[in-house]
Amino acid sequence: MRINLRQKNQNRQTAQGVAISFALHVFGILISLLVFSRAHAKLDNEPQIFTVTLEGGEVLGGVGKVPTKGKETQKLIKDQVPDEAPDVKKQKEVEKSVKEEKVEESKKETPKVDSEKEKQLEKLSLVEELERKKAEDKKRDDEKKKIEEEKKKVEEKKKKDLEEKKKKEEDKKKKLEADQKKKVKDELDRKKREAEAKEKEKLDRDKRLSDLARQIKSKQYEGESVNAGGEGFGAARLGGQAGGGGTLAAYAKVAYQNELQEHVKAGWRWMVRSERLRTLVRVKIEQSGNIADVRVEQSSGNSNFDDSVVRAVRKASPVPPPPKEFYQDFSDVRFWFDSQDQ
Amino acid sequence: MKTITQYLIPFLLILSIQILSSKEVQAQTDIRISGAQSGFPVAIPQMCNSGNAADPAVKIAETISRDLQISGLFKVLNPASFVETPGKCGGPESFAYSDWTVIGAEGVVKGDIKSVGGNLQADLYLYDALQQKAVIGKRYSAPENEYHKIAHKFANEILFYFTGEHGVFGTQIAYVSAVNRFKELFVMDIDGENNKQLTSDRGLVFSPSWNPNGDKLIYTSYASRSPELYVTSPIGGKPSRITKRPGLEIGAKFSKDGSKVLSSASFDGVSKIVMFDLRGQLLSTLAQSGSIDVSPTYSPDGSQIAFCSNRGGGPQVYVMGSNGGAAKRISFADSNYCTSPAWSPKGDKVAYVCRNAGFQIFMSDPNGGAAIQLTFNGDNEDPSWSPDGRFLAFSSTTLGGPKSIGILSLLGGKPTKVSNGAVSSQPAWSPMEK
Repeated sequence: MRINLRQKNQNRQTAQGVAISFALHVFGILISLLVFSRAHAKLDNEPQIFTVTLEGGEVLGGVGKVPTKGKETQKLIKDQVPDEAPDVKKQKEVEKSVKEEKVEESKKETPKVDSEKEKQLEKLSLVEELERKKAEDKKRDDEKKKIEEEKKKVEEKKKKDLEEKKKKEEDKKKKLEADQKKKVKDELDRKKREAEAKEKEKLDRDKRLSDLARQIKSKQYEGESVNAGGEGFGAARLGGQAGGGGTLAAYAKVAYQNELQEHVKAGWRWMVRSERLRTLVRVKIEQSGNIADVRVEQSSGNSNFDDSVVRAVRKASPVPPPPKEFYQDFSDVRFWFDSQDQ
Repeated sequence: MKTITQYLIPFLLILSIQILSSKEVQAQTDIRISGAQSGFPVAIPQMCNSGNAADPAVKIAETISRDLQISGLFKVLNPASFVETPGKCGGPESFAYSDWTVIGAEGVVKGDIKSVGGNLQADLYLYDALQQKAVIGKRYSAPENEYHKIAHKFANEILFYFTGEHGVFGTQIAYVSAVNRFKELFVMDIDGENNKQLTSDRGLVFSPSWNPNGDKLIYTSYASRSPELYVTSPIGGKPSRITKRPGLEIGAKFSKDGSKVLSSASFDGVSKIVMFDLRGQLLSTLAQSGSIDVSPTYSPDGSQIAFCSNRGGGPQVYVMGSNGGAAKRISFADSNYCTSPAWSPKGDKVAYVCRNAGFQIFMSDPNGGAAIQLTFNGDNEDPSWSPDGRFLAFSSTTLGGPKSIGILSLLGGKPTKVSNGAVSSQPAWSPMEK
């Protein structure tokens, strides 16, 4: 074939080359899809993927890794959502009401403790309060004295007023001149600051996005993630191709992740103390929300603490069923339990 | 060939990038959880009576429940909510874990109790209802009237399983209580049970304190018409007199090795902090001043002594080295009367009493910093630390009835009344059970 090709003229050679390369590309894409989908097919047995990131935008628009997934996600949404929607909605409503009940329960419990603590604190500060009252009385006396002194001062001031008025007028003139100079300078400063702020905003935003990409760590991040998701969406459109779908999925994913976090945390009991303990458990979650397996991957070194963690996860079963479109992301989750708040 | 490789190379590059990047996307969903709540929910049903042990089968469960409740670390579930019949016999094959998880229990305590010739045999189990397995199984035997010892021991096991810390159940509190018009020395379990009268001096008894081994109590008694120091055993027996001196020896404390006794003594007119040996020989006088010095208490390492002195005017709490020397005031509760210091077993706090709308218990760092008030109503006096430093026993007029002994968890909550009946005061918490 090589010899034949050499014998043909230049034009034909080029055309055929293009055709072959086209065929090879198609073949290559098919293989890559195959590899990719096989990787997905394996996921049932293997630890589950996907950092929960909201960086969506830029990354999604990039080297074509996620767009494939984005297409799939879109397809899934198109295929499934219309049929599933009512059920999902119902389920969510039920979950919501359950959650609200729980919230109310916990609300009922906490005020007691709080009020008792407050009571104690109030009483504790009795001594301080007495001191404060004394201080206040003293303050009042001081104020009376002050007022009298001020009256005297006002009278003295009146005498001085005439002199001062003259002075003030002169001062005003000077001040006006100074003000004008200052305004010009301020304007320049302001422009400079704006430019700096813009630069900083950009840097901050980039940092936020990369932070989010790394991990959604805590509830505080939930608040931020909504914003970041919005920004990611815009960026995704710039990058083109289905990025928006990915971003929406990421948002819903984070919402579920938070739900899961709250659900597991609610049942966790441990005795608070100064020592810091951390345990990593790997949890297999079935589509129904049933917890199929809990395994301690990294012990805290304190078996009592590890046990409390395993109990917390077992107690949480069944968790709210993961949304179908990214069940894979939650079929196998790693929970970090930390004895101390950060 | 050149042309093909020209197209092939970029293609392979793209392919490899795709494979690599698809792996790069693989990372696991990580969720971080912190902020556990306290209050392990446990169910303690009436135990199985497998022979002549109907009473202990109920009482052991009750005692364990009371212990765990006093600890403030557990939520002991109401037996009325139990699905299972009380007193059901049999191991894990005979009950459903779901009967217990459905009421929210993390731990289930079950037991099989029988009595053979007045001796109890108790097989006690703790099941982790969520991990669905027995996590503790112990066989105890004891005379029938000592069922509470079994219960306390197992309550400690339960506490250890859930927290990894050693409990104080089974420790005791010595205290002074009224018998007719006299005051005698008593000792009881920390839940108020197993109460025993140790003296019958028909006089006045003051300021009991334990030795570090927990097998001796030292106290002041008027048994011989003049106040002297005595030592007795918490399980009873004849007390032995240590001192025979004019004046009042009171507030005695054993040294860390138990070989010496720190006390206040007023044999030469003014009350001083002094050191005796166990035969009552004066070894040294520690606090030199023209003032009245009383109520010494050692720091847990034995290097310092907190005591009460009126050297600055009214009585206040001071700290000095264990060999005497300069003292530094540590009570600043805006009160002109502070006394009864008690050094915490971890050494990080000193509790004391100050007059402030009644006598109230305060606690501060050993240098006087971070002072807080712990009680607020009535009179609360004589604080004594639990050996784990998580509780204070004290006498209080606020627990219903006459002045009685209460226990306060430093995790918060209300004090629990543990003494019964007559006027009681001056609690002294024993060391950890050995």
